[in-house]
Amino acid sequence: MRAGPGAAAALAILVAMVLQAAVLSRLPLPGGPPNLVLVLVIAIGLAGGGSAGLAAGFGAGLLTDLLSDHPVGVLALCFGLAGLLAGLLDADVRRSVLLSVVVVAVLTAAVYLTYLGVMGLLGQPVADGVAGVLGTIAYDVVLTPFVVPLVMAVTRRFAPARRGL
Amino acid sequence: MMAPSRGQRRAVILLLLLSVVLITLDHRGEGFRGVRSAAHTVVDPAQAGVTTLVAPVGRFFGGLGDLGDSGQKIDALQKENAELRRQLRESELSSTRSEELRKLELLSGQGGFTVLPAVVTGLGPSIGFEWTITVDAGRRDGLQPDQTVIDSDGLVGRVKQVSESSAVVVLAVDPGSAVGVRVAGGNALGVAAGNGLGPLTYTPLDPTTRVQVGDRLLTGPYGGSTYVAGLPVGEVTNVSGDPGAPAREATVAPYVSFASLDLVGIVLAAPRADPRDRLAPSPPAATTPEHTP
Repeated sequence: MRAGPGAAAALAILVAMVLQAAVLSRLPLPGGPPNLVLVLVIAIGLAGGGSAGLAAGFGAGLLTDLLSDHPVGVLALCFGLAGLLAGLLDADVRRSVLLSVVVVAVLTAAVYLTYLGVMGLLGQPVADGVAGVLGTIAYDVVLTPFVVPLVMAVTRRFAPARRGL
Repeated sequence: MMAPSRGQRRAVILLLLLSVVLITLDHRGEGFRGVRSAAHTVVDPAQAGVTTLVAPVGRFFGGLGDLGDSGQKIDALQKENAELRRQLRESELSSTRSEELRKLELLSGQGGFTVLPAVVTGLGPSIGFEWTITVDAGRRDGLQPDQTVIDSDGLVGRVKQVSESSAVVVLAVDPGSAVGVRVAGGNALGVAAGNGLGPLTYTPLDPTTRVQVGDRLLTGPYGGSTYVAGLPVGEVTNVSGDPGAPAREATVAPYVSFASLDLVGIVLAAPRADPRDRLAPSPPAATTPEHTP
C-alpha cells in the first residue's frame, strides 16, 4: 500500500470507529450491534488484496482493542486474519457484490468465534455472546452492499491502471 | 483462493507473534494503561461531537423528508415547519435532560454524596460482549478509576479507565461485574452478578437466607464492595426453588434502564455514614401479600 491509499484507509477506519461507538452500537436493535469496522476491514481486503487487508485489520483491531476493556491484541489478531483471508480470495469472487455478502457473513462468524475462543482461553467472561452474533452477522450483511462498492471505487481511483491487484 | 505470497506469509507470522505477545503482556498486568488512555484522548472528542450531532434523532431523520420537493412556497413553509418542529424537539430534549438532572441531584442530596453529572457519548466500541459506556467527563473533572457511577434510578456501574476529558464506565450488567448488595430493610448480604442483556443474578452469601419476590437490593456497606453504599440496584423478580424455601439464586430486574442511558452521575465524594435504606425506592403499590419469615 502506498501513502495515498494507506492514509485513506486509516481515515476511513477512524471514521468507522467513531460512527460505531457513537451511533451504531447505540441503535436499539435486537441481537448484537452491526460491526462497521469489521465490514470495512473485509472490504479493504477484497478491494486491495491480502497485504492491505492484513495491515488494515491489524491496525483497526489494535485501536478497537485499546478503546475496549479486553486484553490488547485479541481483535488485532482476529481482524488481521479476516482482512488477509478476504484479500486471498480469487479476483472473480472479490469483485462480485453478491459473493462479498457471503464473504462478510462467513468472516464475521469466524471472527466472533475466534474472539470468543481466545477470550475463553484467557478465562474472560463472555455471557450471551453467541446469541448476539447472529444479529451482528445479519446487520453486517446489510451494510456490505453499501461499504464494499464504495471501497472498491476508492481503490480503483488510487490505482486506475492496475486491474484486480 | 490464492496462495499467500512469501511476504504475506511472513506478515502473518509476524501478526500472530505480535498479537500473542500483546495479549500476554496485557493479560498479565496493566502495562497498556497509558496507551489506552492516549487512544481515548484522541478518539473520544470526535465521538462526543458525533453524539451531539445525532442526539436529536428526530431532527436527524425528520430533516430528510425535505429532499426532492419543488415549489418555493411549499419549500419555505416546510422549512419553517421543520424549524418549529426542531425547536420543539430540542426544548423537549433539554427539558428531559434537566428533569433527569434534577432527579439525579435529588438522589445524591438524599444520600449526602457529591455527584458530577456527565453525558454518555458512546457505548463501548467492543464487539458486543462488554458492557461499557464512554462519558464526557475525565481526569480534569476529578474522575478516578473505581468511582461509582449512578443515574437518577440507581447504580449504573463503576469507572474503569480515565483519560483527560473522557472515561470508560463498566456497567453493572457486564458479565464480569459483581456488586456487593444488601436487602433493604435487613442486613442480609449477597452478590448481584451481571449477565449482559439478561437480568442480574443475586446470590445471598448465607445460603439459608430467604429471598422473596419484591425484595429491593441496595449496594452493600463499605469493605465488601468498591461501590458507594446504599444505592438502589434492583428488585427481585424471580426466585429459583420453592417459595419460602431457602433459595440459592434469584433474578433481579435493575432499576436503571441500561439500554437508554443518557445522563449519569459520577460519585466524587461519598458520605461518611452508610445512608442505609434512605435511597431505596418505595415498593410497588400492587404487590401480592407475602408472609415475612
